[in-house]
Amino acid sequence: MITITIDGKKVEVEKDTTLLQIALAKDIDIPHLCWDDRIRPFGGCRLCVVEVEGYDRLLSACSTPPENGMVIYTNSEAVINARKAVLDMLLIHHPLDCPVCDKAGNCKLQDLAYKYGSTESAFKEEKKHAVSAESPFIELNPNRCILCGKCVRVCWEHQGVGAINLIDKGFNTKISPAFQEVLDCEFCGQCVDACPVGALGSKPFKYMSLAWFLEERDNICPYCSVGCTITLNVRERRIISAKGVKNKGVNNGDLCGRGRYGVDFVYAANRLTTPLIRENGMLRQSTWDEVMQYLSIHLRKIIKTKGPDSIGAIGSPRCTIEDNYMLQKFMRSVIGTNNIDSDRFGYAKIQQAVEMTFGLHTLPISLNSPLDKDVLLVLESDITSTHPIWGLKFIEAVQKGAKLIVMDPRETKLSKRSSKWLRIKPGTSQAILNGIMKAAIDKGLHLKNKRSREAGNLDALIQLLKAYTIQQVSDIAEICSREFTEVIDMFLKGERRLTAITIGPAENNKGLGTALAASNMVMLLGDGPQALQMPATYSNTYGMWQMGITPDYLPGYEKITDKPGKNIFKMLYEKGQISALFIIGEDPLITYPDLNKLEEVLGSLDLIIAQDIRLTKTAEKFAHIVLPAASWAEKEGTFINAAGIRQKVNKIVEPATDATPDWKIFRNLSRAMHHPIGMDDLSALKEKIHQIKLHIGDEKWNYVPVPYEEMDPPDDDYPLLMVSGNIMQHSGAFSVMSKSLSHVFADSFVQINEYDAEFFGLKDGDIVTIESKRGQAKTKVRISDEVSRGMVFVPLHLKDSRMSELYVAYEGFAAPIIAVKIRK
Amino acid sequence: MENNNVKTIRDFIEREKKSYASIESTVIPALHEAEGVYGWISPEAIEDISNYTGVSKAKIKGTATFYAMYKNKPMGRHLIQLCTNVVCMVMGSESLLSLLNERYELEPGGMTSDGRFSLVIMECIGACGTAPAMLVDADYYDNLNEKNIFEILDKYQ
Repeated sequence: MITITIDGKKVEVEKDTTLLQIALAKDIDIPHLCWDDRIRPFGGCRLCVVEVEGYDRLLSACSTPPENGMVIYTNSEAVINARKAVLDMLLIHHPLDCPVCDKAGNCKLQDLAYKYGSTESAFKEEKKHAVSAESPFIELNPNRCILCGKCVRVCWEHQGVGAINLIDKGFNTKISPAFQEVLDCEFCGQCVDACPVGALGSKPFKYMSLAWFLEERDNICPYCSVGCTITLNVRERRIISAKGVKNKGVNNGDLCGRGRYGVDFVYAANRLTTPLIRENGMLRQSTWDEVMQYLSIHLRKIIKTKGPDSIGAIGSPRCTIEDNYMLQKFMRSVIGTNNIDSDRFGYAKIQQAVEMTFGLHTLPISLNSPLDKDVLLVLESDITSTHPIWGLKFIEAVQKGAKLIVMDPRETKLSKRSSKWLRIKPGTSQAILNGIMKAAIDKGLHLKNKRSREAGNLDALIQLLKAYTIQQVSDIAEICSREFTEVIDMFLKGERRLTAITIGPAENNKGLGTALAASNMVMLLGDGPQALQMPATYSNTYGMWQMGITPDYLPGYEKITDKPGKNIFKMLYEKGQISALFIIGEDPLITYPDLNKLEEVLGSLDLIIAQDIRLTKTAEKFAHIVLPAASWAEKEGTFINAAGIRQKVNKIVEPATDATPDWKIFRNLSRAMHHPIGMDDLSALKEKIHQIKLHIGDEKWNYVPVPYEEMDPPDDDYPLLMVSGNIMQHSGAFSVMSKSLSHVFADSFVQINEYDAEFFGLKDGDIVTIESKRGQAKTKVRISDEVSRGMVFVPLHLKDSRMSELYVAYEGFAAPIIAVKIRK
Repeated sequence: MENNNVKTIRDFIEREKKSYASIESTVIPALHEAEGVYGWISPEAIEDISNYTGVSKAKIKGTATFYAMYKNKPMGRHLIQLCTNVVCMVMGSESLLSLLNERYELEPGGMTSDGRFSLVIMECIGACGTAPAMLVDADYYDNLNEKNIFEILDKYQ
């Protein structure tokens, strides 16, 4: 600690900081335009200049570290004159078109011009008339730009993209992408939040409102499980736009494109506004009274004739914990069954692996986990797409000197920033992990602590690993054994290692076996579960599991030992298991695999109730009753993010007409069935949830050796491996409802390498049929070197494609990648 | 599907990057190399450098346009750099300019329609005693007049 004097006050400060950060922490206002704590100091705007005793010139506070005994004046006459002079320069070219600028009211230049008293420059010069680039989301207005370069540095240093830069020099300098016609980037919009003036704006919100008419309301982002705080701009009780605000939330103001541009799904045209009931094969508008009566009669009839276990329910990772708690309470108390499950194709595998190996019922990630590591291993996971803001921590770690190893046949943002990237064959991560374990054993780098030595099944694991020598694994993964050896050395040399895998429902390139192998590895090396980061998928996937939306756990991970219910594979893929189904916030026809089988089972049920915010494909085709639910911004509740942090979801706007929060629908239904379950209001419900005791399990390690196998090996008839996943702008149900996001990627597509495209005679934009052993789907070809030879990539969840027809509902260990053929 | 130009630039970057602390530092020499290969800093040149350094295209374009001596637009086969500073101007470089314009329709900053010459006005090259002076590509010529300038330029086809 050293002592400096700011404006006459003595303060104790850390050495490793800057004068600006010290002042801001002490609530001393030093104006600044180009500084941001996420990026390196730049010292470009010259507004943060301060007077320091002993220096005959002014120093920029953002780039000057404190020295012991420094005496600083932040507001002296010399400082004020210098700032006025800088503003005078900035206002030479700035157009002063505030009345038509969306930023008016939230513009730093406007504030400073007001504060320092000059609205026009003393210099007379032609204003700029630069042409701006086109982009679907981001509106570039180079004429308003003050050339502080903050957006450029946020985009390159923090976001790892570098889509824009200051091009040319002197008076001609303008903010632009490399080739000025179009801005083609990932559309995270971080540059828009970074811009101190109105040079970068959001196109979907253009001219909707000047900033000073907007009311700011915070909420938790409804997309992925990072749980970012997003600030919604509301005007006249309508959400206009979204932004990130520095120092707020787990994201500290960072947002991705889904969070920023995807919240307009609340106003989608297919929102449900009233209950619907099927009559003569058609859905017609109904009332709450009518549907409640209908359900009460029919559900009781089914319970009476076929028993409570003939009714099932599917919960939603997009609903709050309150909604999910009430769902299971309704099913368990009112109906009397444990037939409750959720989308079992993703995070369920992680839950299962964690329990089998570590003996834990849950394993939250830590959002800052990449930052204190020296080597990071990412296996076939496009983290910057699935969990964009967590993905940024990997980029930050690389900048701080960590080694990043990426094993992925697809090029991702992380592979571009990696120290080593091996393009393995799709789905072979499990073999890679086995190979790393075998190498560790050969080098004597295993069993580093008591727990790893005492874990069960060690002999069986060692026996299994004999078949995974570097050469054998290199052959399986189709990589060069020399490079694999290099990677293994890099990884094993690390003192603080981290392994990251995501398994979302849309991702088929990892299976239960992959999660088990990764768990085995962190145990064998002695690193333990904390060194393995496998995040939950959606905003409340983690919370949904904690609320017992699973056939074998009660809320709080309390294991049901006597009579577990039927899981989704039984309920949805075996005929005759159930005769009534409650579907909450899911659209199985779009997102679940094996469409033909699914349609057969759904078509055979007596009663299907779809409760959702929109009319889903499943509801349209099969539901007897459709219940309109309030969306995320229309109700209060709680999400639990991947790190296990509970965050409050706020009611920002009124629900669409008759839409009702899910938890309230269950309360009302239980009343209608003359079986009230208490918790009449939200606070009683919250209190009930608060009292749940968490049984996270006793950590007891146990190796689970699983050989690598292919579920559906390619052959001459079906030569290509089809990998599915999410893309940056779409993650499923909500994103396809968003008008803004669908503007960019509306149609489904398949990515194929240019060699394969040539071999199969395909051109960019061709409409092709993809066929697997189970079905076929039509889509559009996109030739891309992001995928390697022998594979194709399809983003799931995009509407109007029957991609899921190709997939199999699979419960085994392997990665459920399927072999396909592709033809015009 | 790699052509010779791409290979030259890739090999250059692979070789050069060993000399620098960060890969970003190879961008400036790579721009010189690419200029030699493509004749100017073309979009292909920027793509190639971006592919092999990992630095974004916008960053490279920004660097190229910041430094005045990179050729940021297509250039003729030969570059005429004529000095028009005070001494050269007094000694007749202005009339040489209009002659170049008459014969080749060549404006300062422009290129002949057949792609043979590009012309730029350069600052003093320290040849005031033998003004006017010019560079053609890397060759230096002084004591220019209305006659010998064309004899010189005829050598450059």
